[in-house]
Order: sequence, then C-alpha cells, then structure tokens
Amino acid sequence: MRKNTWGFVGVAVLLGAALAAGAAEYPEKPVNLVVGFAAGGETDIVVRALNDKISANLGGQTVVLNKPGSGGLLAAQTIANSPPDGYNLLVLSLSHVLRQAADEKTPFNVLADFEPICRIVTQPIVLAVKGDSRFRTIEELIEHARANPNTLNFGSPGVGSLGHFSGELFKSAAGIQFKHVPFQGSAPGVTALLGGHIDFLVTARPAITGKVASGDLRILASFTDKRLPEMAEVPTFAEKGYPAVVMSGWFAFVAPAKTPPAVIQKMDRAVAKTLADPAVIEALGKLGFNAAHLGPPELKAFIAGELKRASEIARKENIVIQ
Amino acid sequence: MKRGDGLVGFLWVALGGYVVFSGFRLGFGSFASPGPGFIAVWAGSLLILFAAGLLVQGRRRRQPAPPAPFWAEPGAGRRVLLTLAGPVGFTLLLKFLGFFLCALLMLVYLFRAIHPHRWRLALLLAGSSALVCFVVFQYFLQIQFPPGLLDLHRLKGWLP
Amino acid sequence: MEVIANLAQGFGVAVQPTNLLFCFVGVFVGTLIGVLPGIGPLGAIALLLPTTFYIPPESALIMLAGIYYGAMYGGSTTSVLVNIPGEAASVVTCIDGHQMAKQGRAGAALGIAAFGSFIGGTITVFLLALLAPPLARMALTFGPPEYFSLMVLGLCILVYLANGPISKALVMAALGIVLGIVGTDTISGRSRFTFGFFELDDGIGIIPVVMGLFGVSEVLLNVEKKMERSIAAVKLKGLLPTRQDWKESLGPIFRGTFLGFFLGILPGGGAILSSFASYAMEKKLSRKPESFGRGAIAGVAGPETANNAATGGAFIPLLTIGIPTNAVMALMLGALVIHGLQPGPLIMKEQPALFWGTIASMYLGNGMLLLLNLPFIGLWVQILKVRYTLLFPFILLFCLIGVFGVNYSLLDTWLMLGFGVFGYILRKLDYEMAPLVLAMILGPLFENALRQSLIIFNGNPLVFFTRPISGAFLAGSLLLLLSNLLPWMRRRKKYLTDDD
Repeated sequence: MRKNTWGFVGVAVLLGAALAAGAAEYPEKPVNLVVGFAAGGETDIVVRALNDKISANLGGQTVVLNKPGSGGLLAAQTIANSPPDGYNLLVLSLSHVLRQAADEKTPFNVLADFEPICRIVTQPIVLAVKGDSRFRTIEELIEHARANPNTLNFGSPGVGSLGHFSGELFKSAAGIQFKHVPFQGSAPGVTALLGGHIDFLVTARPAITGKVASGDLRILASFTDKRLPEMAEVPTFAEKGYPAVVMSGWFAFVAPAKTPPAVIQKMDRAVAKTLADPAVIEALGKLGFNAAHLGPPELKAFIAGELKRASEIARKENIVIQ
Repeated sequence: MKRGDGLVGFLWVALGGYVVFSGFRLGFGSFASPGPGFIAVWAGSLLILFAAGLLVQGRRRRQPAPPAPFWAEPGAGRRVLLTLAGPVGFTLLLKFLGFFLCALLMLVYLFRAIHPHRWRLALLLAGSSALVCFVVFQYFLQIQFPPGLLDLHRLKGWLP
Repeated sequence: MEVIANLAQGFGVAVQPTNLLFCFVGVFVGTLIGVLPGIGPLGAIALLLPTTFYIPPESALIMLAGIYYGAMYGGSTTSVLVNIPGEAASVVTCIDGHQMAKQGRAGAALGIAAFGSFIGGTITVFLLALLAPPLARMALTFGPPEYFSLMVLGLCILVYLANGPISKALVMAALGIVLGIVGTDTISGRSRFTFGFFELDDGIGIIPVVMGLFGVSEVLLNVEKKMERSIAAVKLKGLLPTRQDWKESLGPIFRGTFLGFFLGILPGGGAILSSFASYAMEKKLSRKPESFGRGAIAGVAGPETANNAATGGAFIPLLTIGIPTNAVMALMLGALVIHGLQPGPLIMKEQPALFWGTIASMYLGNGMLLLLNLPFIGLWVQILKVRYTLLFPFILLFCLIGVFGVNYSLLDTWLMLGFGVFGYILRKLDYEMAPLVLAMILGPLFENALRQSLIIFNGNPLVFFTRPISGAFLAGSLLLLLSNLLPWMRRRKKYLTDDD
C-alpha cells in the first residue's frame, strides 16, 4: 500500500513533469507561419513586420514561409492537410472565406479544417470617387444610380475580391443597379479611377491613402462598423441607413484542425502580447492596418459569421467562381 | 522540310479544334458582351487557319528529296533522353531528398552519362558546386526548398 | 533653368557618401541577382525591404532602384551566354545575343548591352527630369480602350519578330494566345483550361515557359551532337564592341531609349513591349534585315537599351501620381509608405531631396553599372570556353533553381521541363519561340482591356475607333499589317510559281 502510494506519487510527479516539460517545450523547433502570397505582398509584409516580436514573445523561432498560388488557396489547402502539431500555421484572410462562399469546389473548409488561433489585423474598405467627381456625397451617388440604373461603372480589384463583395453588398442593400468592372489588383483600378474611366472604386484603404491626402480622390463612405479616428470625416454606410453594409478585410492565424489547445493558447498569448506593443500598432498603422486581436473562441464565431454573410451575398448577387 | 513537320501541323489543327470546342462550352458570349470563351474561340480558329496554311504550303511545294530525318546524328535521340532524365529525376526526388542531395546526384549523373568524365572530377566538381549552391540559394537567398533528408532548420542551430 | 537647379540639388543628395554607398550596394546586388537564377528583383527587394526601415527614405529608394535596374542589366548576361532569359524582358536579347556568343562575339554583345543601358539610362534621367509631370497626366488618359488598341498594335508588331518562316511564326503567336488563356478569367471568375490544377488558376507562369523554351531546349539541341568543344564554335573575338559595331548600334540605342522611356510609363507590360517593339523596329529599319536572328548587334543594342530606359520610365507614375506600374514598383511604394511618405503630385514639392536625389542617383548608378560590368565581361566570356559536357549540367541546375525559386512549386518545374521538350522539337522544325512568349504575355492584357472596354461602353465596339489615341493605334496596326503582309504575299506567289 505504502509502496504503491509512493509509486503512484512517483508516477504522478513524473507525468506532471513530462506534461509541464511538454507544454514548456512547444515550440521545440521553428514554427512556420505560412503566407499564401509572394514575398512583398501586403499579407507578407504584415506578417514579417510582426515576426521578430512574435518569436521573442513565444520563446521560440517563427519563420515566415511563402506559398503563393491561386490567391492564397494553395497555402490553405496545404495547411489543412498538415499534421496538427502547431508547427505549420496559416495566415487566413477574408479572401479565403469569400472564395469558399463563391466557389463550391474550394478544396478546404475554413470552419472544419482549421483551428482558429487569433485575429491579427483589420483593414478598412472604402468607396472612393475622383477628386472632381460630380458626386459630393454617397446620397448623391445612390440618387443618381436610382434614376439611371446600370449606367455607373463600379471598379473592383477583381472578381470575388473584398472590393467586389463589398460593392455588391452595397448594391443590394441600397436597391440600385450599376455595372461591375473588375481589374487585376487595386493599382490598375486606382489608375482607371484617376483617369475618369470608371465612376467609383471599392477597395481596401491603403491603396488610395496618398491620393486621398492629395485631393485626387475622395472617400464617400466607408464599410467599417463605426467611424475610424484617422478618417473621422468619412461617414459609414451603417450610419447612412444601411446597417448591413459592413465589411472589413482581416488576417488571422489558424492551425490545422485538432491542434492541441495548449499550443493554440500559447501562440495566441504570444501574438496578443505582440499586438499590444505600441511600436507594433504604429508600424501596422503606417501600412494601413489596425491591430485587432481576437482570441480563439471569438475568432471561431467571427469566421462563422463572416462565412454566413459572404455566402448570402454570393447567392443573392450570383458571384460564382468555378 | 523535316520528318515530323506534317504531324506537328495536324497536331495544331487538333489542338485548335479542342480550344474552339472548349471555348464554346465556356461561353462565347456576343460581340457586345464577350464571354469567358470568346478569345479561346478566336485564338483556336486562328491556330487552325494558320496551321492549315502551313499544311497546304508543305503539300504544294514540290519535294525534290525525301524529308530529312528528325535526328541527323546517330545516337542523338539517346543522348537527349539521357540528358532529360537528369532534371526529371531531380524534380521527382526533390521532395524526398532535399535540394543538396538532388543537386549532387543530378550533377554527378550528368557529368558521367553524356560524356564520361573521370569519376574524381565528376564527384569533386558536383560536390563542391552542390554545396556552394546550397549555401547561396537555400541559406543566403532563402529559397524555400522542401527540407527532405537534410532539414535546414535543424542545421540552422549550428549556423551563425 | 529650374530643371538644372533641381538636378543640381539631386546630385547634391546623390553624391553624399552614404547614398553613394547604398547606390553601389543596390547595383551590385542587382547585377548579382540578375545573373543568378531563382531570385528576381522582386524577391531581392522583398528580402531587403525590412533593412530599409532603418535608413533614410532617399537612401532606401536609391538602393532599391539600383537593385531594379541592376537586375535588368544582369538578366541580359545569361541571355547572351547560355540562352536563358532571366525574365520576359530579356527574351528578345536571346535571339541575336546568343547567336553572337556562338560566333565568339559574346564580349561585343555584353559590351554593347552595357553601353546601351548606360546611354539609355542617362538620357532617361534627363527626360524624367524634364517631362515627368506632364507625362504622368498623359498616362492617365489611357483607359481600357487605349490599352486594347495598344495591345492590338503589339500583336501586329509580333509578325516582325519572325526571322524564319512567317507561317510558322503566326502559328506560334496563335498558340501563345491560347496558352495565355489558361487560368481564372478575371472578368467572370471561371477557370479555363486548368484541368483541375489549382496552381494553374493564376495562369501558366511566364518564367517556366521562357526557361523551358529557351534554356532547356537549347541544352537538348546541343547535347544531340557529340559536343566536346565549348559553346563558341570559333575563337573568342575582342571583348569590346568594334568601331563597326558602334556604327551599327548607335541608331538602335537612341531609338531604343525613346521607345523604352515612353512605353515604360504605361502600366502593364511596358518594359516587355518596349524590348520587342525596339527589335521589330530595328529589323524594319535595317538595311540588312536578313542578318537579324543570325547575330545582328543592332538586335541586342536596341532592345537592351529600351528595357533599361523603360525602368526609368516606370518611375514616373510611381513618383508623380503614386501608382506602381508593376510589382517591383509596388514594393518601392511600400518602402516609401513605411517611412510615412505618400508618393503623389505633392512629393516633388514637399520632398525635393527624395525625388531629385533618386533621379540623380539613377544616373550615377548607371555609371557604376558600366564600371562594374565592363571588367566582368572578360570573366563572363570565360564561361563560354568551358567544355560543354561540363557546362550543361550547371545550366540545367540553374534553370531548375530559377523556376522553383519563383513560386516554390514543383508543377512549375514540370512545366519548364515539358516546355523544354516542346521547344526542342519545335526548334528542330524551324519554329521560333519569341512570338509565342510575347503573344502569351499580351493575350491576357488584350482580353481584359477588350472586355473592360465593352462593359464600360455598353458593348459598343465603335469606341475603339472614335477615341483618338485608340483610333491612332488601330490605324497604325492596320498600316503595319498591310505593309508587311502585301510584300510577303507577292513574294510567296512568286516563290510558288517559278522558284523552288
């Protein structure tokens, strides 16, 4: 009995030590942060800007790996099929969710195949017109579109992009009609807007910040849920009477499904600490992003909500990628 | 005129036909609103047209001599296939062996297969170049090759 | 006068020792990555971007710009020596450059490329200083209809590239357009000809195609013969261009500069378009067009100058209206933004040191590039003396690294090998590869511009003719086709009846 007790205690101590060691040991080798875009893309730049600090806060090395291909799809597919050991994490973004909403053959499921870790940043989406446009306010634009259906040209950075979905969301909420002109990325869209070849553009804000500052472009409304301090004079669609017209770009870290909770939590703490650093917040701000941490359970609910909304828009507006 | 010229011409026509067919299936649209298959239909038709021109041209020209053989030199085809086996093997094995071993094996093989250089030269040259390439491309320029047997991250602990 | 004062201020910034150092580091790294496979200017700049956070913005821009035009120059080296275009813009250099190398004149080809780049770069700097603001505004007037017509013109110019049978060049061009269709349709979002490979959603990469069609197929052609010798069949001739070479190159260099500069301003394919438009123009103007494709130095001087001038032109939209015309420029924009600078019309007034300093540094950088590369030419041509049985394994290895390094994708490597075999068979049958590559690049640009135009103008095709710039391009295309096809038809008729 006594012997047994001691034996039991011994085993328990050993087990406890092993468990503690196991938890303390992650990561025992470098953690890959897999970005679905080429080095130098905006996702890549954000993750690289955070990488060193995350390494320090995690107490283990993290490495940014680029696996570009079909708009981030390839990387997501790879991570979905990686071992759930916490050494291969994906930078998931709204575009993955939109893709799944628009393409029923997407080779992964953002809800079932991944274990959410935390959201990193958000990025406001805005509707912009040329500086000397006849539209001074968003109401004037809506008014004009209502009176002349299908005459305005709406530019977006591509089919199924954030800008495309947001624009369609606006269109159906306001009950108006306009033509969609997809470009390949935001820069050609901005050029076309500056040249007056399209009437308005919906895109993430960083692409146009400079042109807004110089007065060449004007932001009529933003798709954020409330006014942002750095563009306090810009109204949101929500306050103009379209509460459903809310959308922001975001990036988040996710792990393959069935990754142990201890690993998820440790990573989440490291990222949360990084995102609380004022220097990091400032650096992200310069890149046009807002640090916006969201823990694992909240992120799960958030992604589910985004997917539901995106699927509804895709169905209603017939946005299909095949 | 070489042997194979006519065959390739027919191949173009067949490919063009496939592209036109797929183009219509994707959706031709109309001139005022072209669909996803619009350009495919046109490009495929052009391919057929130009290839047909090629075939007609080949027919109409009087041929004083039979077409030249595809390979002029004896053993040429064999050497080409042997050479091709090098990079094909590299690509097949890259995932399993990693960059360094693949580069080493391919270089040694190619130094021996086409023109048998002495083993010592082949091994020395292949070994040193594979190492230099490994350091320059994988370590210094950070090209992300599959880790394979020699995991860079495990090595990284020893490197500065 | 103001221009001179501005440039003087710029040179004041550029000759500061730290900036000279950054400029040197930039062109040096650029030359290296241009020659080495696997990493283009985009990758190199992305790797170096974090280091620019800690240096002043003008130093950062000077260094990054140096990498960009250094790489443009370095890329031509491999085109000449081993027929591997480092990127699409040097495809044209392969045609005559590699032929020159085979004739033992690699030194002259590399030399004229260096001098051409220098002269082109120098003139570009002054054009940039004089014309930047008005040109930036002009570039904005280009909407989808203008791009459509420009691409039509580009496709018509393709015909001039043919050095062999024109009927085969036409087949290659049509095939190029077909290959360009592969991938997701940017207007409707449908996958086309991807056969279930998600990797192909973005289209077939241009790097695997050019490396396969030019690099791998060249190796396969060479190993056919029991080649104990080196690439250059004859003794290497002088390292520098001769007086005769200069005479033949000066015209192409000056024409290439202006062509490159103006096409470089336009977003999307400007640099590529400029290099082959220059080739086509020189061939048309030449008194011995038959020498093109057989080692004509004008066919190296013109395009090489044009693509360097185009890199200068590409800075105009970036610095004046804050619009990047390609991915490299987008990264430079990123570098400026991180420093809290927003390039735009105001930057010339608010940050004159940055704007003019960068421009002046490009001039100095071009000089450094020349000094750096002239001594290297002697070294590079030594490669041609290496026995081919020892050289070709390295060429294949560099092609593999180069293709894998772009996307880390094994499918790309397979594609390169496939295109290598394909190119080998076709080149044996006298097909040319350049029209295929260029049609493949222009095809998607052409299609997008066409369909965007038709959406915007409610399906009215008349806009292409009624808008003045667009109409002029289309008229030019028609003239070009007529002037080229009529003599060809006549010749062919004659050929069929009494020749043969």
